[in-house]
Amino acid sequence: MQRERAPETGAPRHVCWQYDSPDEFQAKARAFLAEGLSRTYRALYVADNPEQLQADSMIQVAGCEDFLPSGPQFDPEKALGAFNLATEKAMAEGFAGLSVAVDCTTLALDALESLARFEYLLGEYVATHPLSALCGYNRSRLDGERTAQVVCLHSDSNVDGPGFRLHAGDCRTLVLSGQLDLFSADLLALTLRRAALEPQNGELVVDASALTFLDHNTLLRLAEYAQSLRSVLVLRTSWPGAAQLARLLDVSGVRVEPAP
Amino acid sequence: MTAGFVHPAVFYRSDEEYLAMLRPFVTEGLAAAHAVAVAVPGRRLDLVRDSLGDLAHDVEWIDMAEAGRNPGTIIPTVLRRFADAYLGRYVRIVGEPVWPGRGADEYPACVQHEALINSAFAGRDITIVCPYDVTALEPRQIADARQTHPLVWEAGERHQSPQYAPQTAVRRFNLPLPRDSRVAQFVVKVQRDLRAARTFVAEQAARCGVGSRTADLQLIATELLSNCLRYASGDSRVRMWCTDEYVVCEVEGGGNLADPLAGRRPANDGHGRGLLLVNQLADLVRIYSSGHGTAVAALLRADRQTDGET
Repeated sequence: MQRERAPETGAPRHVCWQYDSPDEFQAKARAFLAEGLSRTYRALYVADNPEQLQADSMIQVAGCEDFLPSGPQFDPEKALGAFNLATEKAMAEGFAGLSVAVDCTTLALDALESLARFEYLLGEYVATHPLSALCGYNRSRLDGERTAQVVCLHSDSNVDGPGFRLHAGDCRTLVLSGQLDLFSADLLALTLRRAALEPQNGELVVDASALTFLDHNTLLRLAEYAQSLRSVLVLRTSWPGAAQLARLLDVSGVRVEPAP
Repeated sequence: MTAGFVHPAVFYRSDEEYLAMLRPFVTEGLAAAHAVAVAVPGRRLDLVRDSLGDLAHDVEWIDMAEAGRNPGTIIPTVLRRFADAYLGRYVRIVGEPVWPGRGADEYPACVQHEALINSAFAGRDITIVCPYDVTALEPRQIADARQTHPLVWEAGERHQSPQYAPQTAVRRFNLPLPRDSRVAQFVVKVQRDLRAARTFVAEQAARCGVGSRTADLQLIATELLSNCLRYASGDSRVRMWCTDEYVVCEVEGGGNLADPLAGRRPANDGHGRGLLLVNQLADLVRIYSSGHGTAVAALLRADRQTDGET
């Protein structure tokens, strides 16, 4: 993954799409990939039955077994390597990048924990490489609780789910947005563990510019998490409650800064 | 100095009597190498400070009108903050939480605070003397002080208070806060409702003209509702209304607050911080427990900005 190149900004690049029927996801995938094609990205559709996508010479298709082989042996790092390879290959062949639509439903049923780790890694890769990804999840096969565990790892989605988003930013920061409270507490803890963040220079920098609420327990848990990584939590937010909380709790290892 | 907790009410009728009783309390404490703090409202702070000359440098001065505007914060953020900084050393504090001009809404919280000091500091080597202005306060308020203090100091004498009954005082002032007829209400049933409850709070803050305190109000409502969701059964309700002086955010749930010192212990005590945080964010907190549940009302002064704002 040496060939790091800033992706174009504008269109959402790591999108979670919950769908009710294969037709619905295929229509969404086609629109997503068409947008990629307009930016001279290669278009790739990955699904259990990719041939179901109506024949389109501009869109390559692949089976899930090539990118997200399902089963308990699923390896997130290896899967990311496959997407990296495909992105590199597209660029070597003259495309500006790779746009991929992938149906993750079966993997979510078989190996949710590893898939969640993969989704974080994919988001991290997307933030710094010319890859855009649409991840599909079939509502009729996945309950809301399982879906929430992956929805929160995308920068965009067609469902609100858990009320917060956690993903990598383009400056090696963590992006945390939405609202964090008792309802999201368990999922946030689970997601932080799966993300396995790596602080830079003793600081866990969180871009919380789109954060609109967090309660005191969440701030304490985030501080504890940063402390467990031997780092200081740097929360960049313009939500006035964060600075107020940090001041009143007088908790060590937390610095609240204005969002840029 | 007697070991253990000493908690006299000091009844004064003039500035001269005020100084005659309190100045020696401070100077004798300093002479005995005690840690001494004076936490009284503004003008009285100057009065004592000016009487001490250079000795004033050895005393911690706290404007109770500001630090103690919410009586619920006095134990954790004024008295224990000072006392806990001098563990192992005898501590003397002058603390005046009741003064003429305290509003009718504030007074029940003041009496409960005075009563709860006794259990909060039981067994500790501390003397907290509480001055009461007997010429300006009402006779019933002086009677309340006799119920919340085991000792009384008056000009020329010190004696025990036969009326001392702090738990009775806590119960007598367990009073519901009167609600405005234009109260708005939102019902919370499950954790997922917290987000909608905050939207409701933001809308009501805007309606009351205190949009700048939306974050404080959302924090207050969320912390109180979270306690209900964790510890109480049944639905809980967040209500908001505004008066000429305050915007009120009240949360009522089915649980009973078994610990009378909840929210009155410093954060590092290992207890839940939610109610303490509410106490710190609000200008006044009133707690009413009935047989059906508990209502916690946080009152924020409509003209007061969030700390740090200009």
